[in-house]
Amino acid sequence: MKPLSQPVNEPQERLQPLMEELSRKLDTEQLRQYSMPYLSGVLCLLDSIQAVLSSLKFPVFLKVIDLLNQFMGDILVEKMSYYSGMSYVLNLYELFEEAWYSLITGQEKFPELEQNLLRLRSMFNRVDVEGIIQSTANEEATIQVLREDLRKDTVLSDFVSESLEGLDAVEATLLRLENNPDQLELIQPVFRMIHTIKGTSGFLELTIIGTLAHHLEDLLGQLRDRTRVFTLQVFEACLHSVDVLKQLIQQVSDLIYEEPPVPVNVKAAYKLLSLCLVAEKKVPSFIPEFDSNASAYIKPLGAILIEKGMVSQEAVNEALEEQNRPLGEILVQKGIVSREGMNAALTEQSTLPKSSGKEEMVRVSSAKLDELAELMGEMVVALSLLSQNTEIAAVTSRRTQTNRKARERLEQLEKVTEHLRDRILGMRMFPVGSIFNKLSRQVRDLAHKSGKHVNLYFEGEDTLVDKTIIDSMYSPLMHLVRNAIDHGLESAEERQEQGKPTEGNLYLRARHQGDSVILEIVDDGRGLQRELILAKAIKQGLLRQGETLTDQQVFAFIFQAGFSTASQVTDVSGRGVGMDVVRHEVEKLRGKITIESAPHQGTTFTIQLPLTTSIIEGLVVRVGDTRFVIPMLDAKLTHIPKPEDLKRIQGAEQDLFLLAGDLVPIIRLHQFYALENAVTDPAKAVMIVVQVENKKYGLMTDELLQRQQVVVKNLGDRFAHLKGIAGGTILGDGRIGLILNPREVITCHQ
Amino acid sequence: MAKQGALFETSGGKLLTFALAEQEYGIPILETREVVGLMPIESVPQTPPFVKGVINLRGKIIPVISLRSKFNKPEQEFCKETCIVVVDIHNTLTGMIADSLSGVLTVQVDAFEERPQMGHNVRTEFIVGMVKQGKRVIIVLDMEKILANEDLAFIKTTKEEI
Repeated sequence: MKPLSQPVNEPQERLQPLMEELSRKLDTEQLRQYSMPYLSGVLCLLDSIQAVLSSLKFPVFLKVIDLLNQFMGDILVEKMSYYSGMSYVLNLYELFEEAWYSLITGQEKFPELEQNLLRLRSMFNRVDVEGIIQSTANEEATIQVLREDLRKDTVLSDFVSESLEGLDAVEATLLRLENNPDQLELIQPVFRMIHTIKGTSGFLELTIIGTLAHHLEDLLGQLRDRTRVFTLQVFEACLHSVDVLKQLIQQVSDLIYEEPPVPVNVKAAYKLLSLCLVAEKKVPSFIPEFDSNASAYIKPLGAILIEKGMVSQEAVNEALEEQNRPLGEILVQKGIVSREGMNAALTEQSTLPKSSGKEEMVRVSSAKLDELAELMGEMVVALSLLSQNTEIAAVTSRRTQTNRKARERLEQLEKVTEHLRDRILGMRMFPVGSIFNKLSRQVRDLAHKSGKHVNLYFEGEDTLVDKTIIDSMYSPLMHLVRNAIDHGLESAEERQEQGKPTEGNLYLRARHQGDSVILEIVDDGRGLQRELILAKAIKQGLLRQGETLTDQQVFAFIFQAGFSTASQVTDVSGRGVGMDVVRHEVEKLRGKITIESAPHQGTTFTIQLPLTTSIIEGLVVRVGDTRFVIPMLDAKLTHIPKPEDLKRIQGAEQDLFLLAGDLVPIIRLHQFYALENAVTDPAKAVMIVVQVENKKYGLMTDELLQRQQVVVKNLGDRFAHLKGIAGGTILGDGRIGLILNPREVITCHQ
Repeated sequence: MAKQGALFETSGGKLLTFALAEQEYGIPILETREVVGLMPIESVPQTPPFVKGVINLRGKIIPVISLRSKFNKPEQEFCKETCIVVVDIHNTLTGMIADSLSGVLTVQVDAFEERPQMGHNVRTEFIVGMVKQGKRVIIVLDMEKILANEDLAFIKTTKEEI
């Protein structure tokens, strides 16, 4: 055995009991209960151990105890969350124990201990970052491991959903902050969310998430304390870290539900963060005045103190220049504010509404909400049929005085039902603003990529729309926005040449109109080029030369699959595969999309969607023995053509009829669907005139039965191949009606 | 083998038996949801001949198929015994027209025979096996296969038409 460099027997005797006791204290059972006596017990033991070790000349051990004390200190002042902090403490203590016992058995393992110390310290410390990059091994394909017993626990899935939601808000706030860097108070909620994620992930043993959140928190802390100034690099680091955190949390979700997890690259985020953290700190040359009206977030302590007249702005500014300590402490210490005054201000701060509009939430499964909505729909229809029933109508008719009471009761029921319907459908409604916020991130990245400066404006973010709309409209809107930036908006030079402001403007608007919601994407770019589109359409054989079309009809060509007039395909757009999907998604929701454009002035896409997807108003018609329902949204009018108005043009496939000067083609539904016992003579039929892409068509039916609100029911996969049928419904007499999709009928007919 | 399991392990050997074109058939009881009397069937265009249409089952729209058509047997008028057996396969409900309902039968494992190799009126992949009960011979149907196959067949035929 190699002789030790120093005698250790005597210190060992003193250390043994101390270390045994500390071991017991750090036993996992006790660790899980946070209590002050427990922590101070640990601290006392550390002190005693330190005393023994100081007689030795092993500097590394002193460093260890030092670091342990630092960890404990941070836990106590809550700079670090309890659980993640204690796990560091445990980790470090075990290393120390190992090293110490190796020492007394004759092996000095100091280099390893030093290295571990460095690693732990750097994982923790704000400055030494090289260590971070080296210590997080295996970044390119990080897949986390979940604690088995936590996997099924709701605490984990709650963490996932709350964190993802919170990170969306964080991203939106960071983007706002980027455009308004003087609104520093916006940092507070961001910091708090990341801090919460750090803490909870530590508790759930999601160390990869916790460590990343920790370093992001450090950077945010510096920004909050004004020891670092916002630069583009800082924003990139923050936004990228938020992205990676989202990916990691999504991975946790996949692991919970046993879906294949997507590996996440953590290294890049750390690189960006480290570039910021090691860069020279820059202190702003001035400290902005507190504007106590500016924020809806936590009022800065300084602002409250100033308001209360306890300090002057200068004193606050001066105190802020002193970093690393809470403002309150500094002011009290300097004797500028009394402790009672400070306590009063702190109380006020904590009782102020913390952030705008956070309500009590209850989580309900969307399947339950769907069921509720469906039942509600049935009730509305049943009620409307009840009041239309001839016997009931006779009783409740306004003409009979004697049945006033009956009528009142019925009207009361109708009113309540209507309110109930609105409330229930409203449960699934969310503000459109959530899509807008997500899009603003895309806009920013895209604008940077294409070197254009884009101003993004939102209008009507509070407009409430059904959740299905929010879910399905995100991709189409994103595609339209990308097109606008990539192709619609010109470069700064081009714009200048035309006398336009060099910054491109993009507007996203939402509003209610009747029973629809209208979404608009407007840009002030170069507009759609009619001639180019016409040429492409002719080239693709979609159009014959010489046909005259309105602007609307020309623009509608861009919705064809594979159609693109972009001369260059960027990796973002121009491939011609997006616009048909956009239209398809809109039509899936039974909506419409239209385009307006003027050269050099810009383009406007308008999407109109029905507010609710489950109840529609339609015309119930009969063709043979089958009932169809034609949505009112598409139906323009009904018409019985006079025999002399019926025309047949040489060479045309269809019959036509004359309607107010227009020649309207007839679509024979009985032929299209091979139905028997139907009317075949157009002069004896009822035409339902629908409009598709500015062209009118007449759907030939036997009889118009009634106009009714119906509940849309999915017919199921078995009938998915049906052309022109959007679903089924149960009519008043219990019979089943097929809901028509006129656009599809017309497209297939041609 | 798996289907046998469905019959004996899950359904405890209980079969819902019904008659169709002078032959008795059975379905494991847990695959059946309910049996309803004949109600108006609304025909749906562009569907294969064995899809008779849809019915309104207490507010749900459910497709109804005709096994006679599926098994290439001659069609027959509905009579007062005709009923619709609603089966639940993978949470999808489908109705089947039966001439009459025989009842629920509990079978023993040893009364069960796997499907025969020889030719039969019915295409053999739809059969799980056969059960003998005294003089009765009951064909146990594989509803999953019966209801799945047709979509492919139909898509195939429509493709050929186009």
